[in-house]
Amino acid sequence: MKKRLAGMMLAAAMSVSLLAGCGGGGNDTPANSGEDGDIVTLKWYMSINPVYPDTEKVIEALNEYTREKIGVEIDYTVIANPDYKEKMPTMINSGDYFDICFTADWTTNYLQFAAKDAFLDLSELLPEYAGETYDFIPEELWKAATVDGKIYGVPSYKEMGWQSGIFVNSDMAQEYGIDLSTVKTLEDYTAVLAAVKEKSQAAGKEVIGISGLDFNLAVPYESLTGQPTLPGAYAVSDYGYFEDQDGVFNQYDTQEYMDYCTLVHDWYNNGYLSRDPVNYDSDTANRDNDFKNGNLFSYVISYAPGAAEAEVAKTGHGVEFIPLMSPLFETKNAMGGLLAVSAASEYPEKALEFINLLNTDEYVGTLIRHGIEGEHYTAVGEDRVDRTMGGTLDPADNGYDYTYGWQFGTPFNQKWDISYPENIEELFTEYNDSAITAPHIGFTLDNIPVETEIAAITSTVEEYGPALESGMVDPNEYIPKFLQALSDSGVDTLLDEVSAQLGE
Amino acid sequence: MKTGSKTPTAGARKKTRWFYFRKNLPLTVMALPALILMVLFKYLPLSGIILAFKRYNIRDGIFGSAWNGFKNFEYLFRTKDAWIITRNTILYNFAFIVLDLIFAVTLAIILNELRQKRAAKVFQTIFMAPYFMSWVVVSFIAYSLLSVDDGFINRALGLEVTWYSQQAAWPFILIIFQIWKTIGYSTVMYLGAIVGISDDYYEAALMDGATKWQQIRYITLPALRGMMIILTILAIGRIFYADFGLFYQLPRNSGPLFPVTNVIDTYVFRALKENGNIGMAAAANLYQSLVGFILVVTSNFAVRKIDKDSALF
Repeated sequence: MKKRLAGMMLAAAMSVSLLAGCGGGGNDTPANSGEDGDIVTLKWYMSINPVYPDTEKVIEALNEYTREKIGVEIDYTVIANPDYKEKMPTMINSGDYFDICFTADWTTNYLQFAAKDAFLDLSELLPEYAGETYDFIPEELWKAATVDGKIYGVPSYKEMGWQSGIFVNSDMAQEYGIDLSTVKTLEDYTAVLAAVKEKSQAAGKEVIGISGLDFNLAVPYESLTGQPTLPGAYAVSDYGYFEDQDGVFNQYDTQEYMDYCTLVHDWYNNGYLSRDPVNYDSDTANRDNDFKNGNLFSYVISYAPGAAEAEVAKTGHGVEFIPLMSPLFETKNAMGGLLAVSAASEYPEKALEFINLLNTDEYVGTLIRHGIEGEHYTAVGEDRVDRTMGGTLDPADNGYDYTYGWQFGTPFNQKWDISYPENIEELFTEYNDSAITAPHIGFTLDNIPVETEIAAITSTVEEYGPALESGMVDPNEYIPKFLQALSDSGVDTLLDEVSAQLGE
Repeated sequence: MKTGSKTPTAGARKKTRWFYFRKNLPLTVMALPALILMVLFKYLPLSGIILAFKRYNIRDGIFGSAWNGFKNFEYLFRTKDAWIITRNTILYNFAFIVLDLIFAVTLAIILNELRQKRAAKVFQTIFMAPYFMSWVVVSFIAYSLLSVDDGFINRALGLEVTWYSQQAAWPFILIIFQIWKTIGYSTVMYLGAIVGISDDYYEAALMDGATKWQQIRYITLPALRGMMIILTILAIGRIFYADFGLFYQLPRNSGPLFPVTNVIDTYVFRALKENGNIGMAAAANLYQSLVGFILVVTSNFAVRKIDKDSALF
């Protein structure tokens, strides 16, 4: 018995070294991990929607390439966004092994895990092992991703900032004879909504004027807590809001908040909104469907270049984007998506080399987004792809297609789908150039001293915020209640802490 | 009990212990897998309780992290909501316990009295079905009933009620759905106990001319007493735990409903989902367990005072 076991182990050991030898033969770049010739397997956890059936095939193709190029194989686990948000933090907390994971401010909280030392400090390694990426991503973005002087993740370089606005069904606007060019602010929109209601009712339809209303999208401010819904705002002078505020303030305790809530509550009372806007907004599949079918006239979004064109392709009717603000670049925007390396990773250098490929290698960038040529897309010219394969493949049947795929890293340095405008990269540059940089870019709040307050406040905001901001309840009655509840939850302590950490 | 009744012969103490060990060996072995699982999954994780008093970070691990005193517990009592949450948790659970007891016992008796056993089985299956549904599914069933635009209730009655912001309605909605969902399961337990009652009692009662009502009153209900007490004491032990699915999914996390739907579990979830602090989560859980433990011991103590034989321990 013992003999047989030993024999088996020997055989296993031999086959492993044999395999390793095979891979090493094609390795043309010097391995930096000090284990020359070995193929390193990196465990990569990714969050993206949806999980496509052909993922394995694509990763196989990717491995073929990366084995040759940098001596790396990827052990890939992709989890849909809602599950990832629950699973990944648990895995990190319980000490499961991984090399690379996706993190952001909206999933697997980057700041929190960076503070807990779950991620590796990359500042020293970056220039050496991911030099191209390090040079390619603008300095402001690195600065914004820095926590306590250390970089814990490689941010996705895409649009730098966020910009809110309204997507409008322009075909319907034309049909009803509505002039959208006059709309500059939400107040201007009242006339549009009134016209939509009147015209659609005359046509015997019941059209919802607008959905997705959110204070933070309508009235921009710099969010110093990194979570726009948490109190701790700072005025950005270019927008002309909150001019009477000095230093850090509670955005819910402002005239702007009262005005905004009053406006949308009037809309609600006038029947411009869904009768249950909170539930309506949370069901985005239903909203998209209504927008497509002309039951919803418009909705508020956070915009990125090319998004309107994509929406046209999706809905089959004209879509116009009405910006409500110029783009604003805050610290949190660097945290829309990052790839972090585990502090426990055995091959951090290899992990960075791989992340570097994701960001700079056109083959890898295109493969991971659009899949395999001839199976998931056809090439169009030098630098475009067609995910419908010349109209023969229904996007719904495509086995692998993350058209935009910024979660994998920068969407530049890859082939764009033909549904994007020709000048898409210029549009991005234009967007980034027009962005206003927030006054405290790079500031991140260390929330440990105020965890108790944040816990209580988060719950309070969730109770009052959505109902007030979607116009469902009367602000004159609810805002005072809201403010009282916030103050009971320790909002002043939070604001003081933010001010103290800002050094003001 | 059986082994204790045999008196060991004097001077052979050591031998008898070995004898009993050998005698009970098959039983011990049979119990072993369950015991091992208990130790692995119920007792060993108890050491994690210290997390409630620690400022956890991954690098130092569970045991290495710095102590934090009672700071992790603060947020539970910090807001004015604290008492609303506690009140909701206890009152809802109290209502569930009482109503579940009444309905389950009634239903079990009714099902048992059905002449057609096939019909009884069909009803039983129907009552049981919702128990296997997840709260997410139930929440969509509820939404299709209560949605303001397309909901069945609004359509059927010609109303325009925004159910998801009507505080007054929700205590009833929650209770109805909870009972609807769990009644089948409890009924089966009581039904099992009823089937176990010897027919002799009923025959004797018939001889004496007892009516159906008298049979239920004087035979069935007393026979079910032990079961009722055990199930109730166990339920009381969990009175400080709220069914997260019920209170979070069913009201669709609707803010205006918080005053009537916020319970300890949903509060902890909302409070911690942003900063994901394990220590604070452990603190909440320890608090719940502790209160549950005290309640079980007290209610058991009360039962002992009244009727010693019915007590759980």
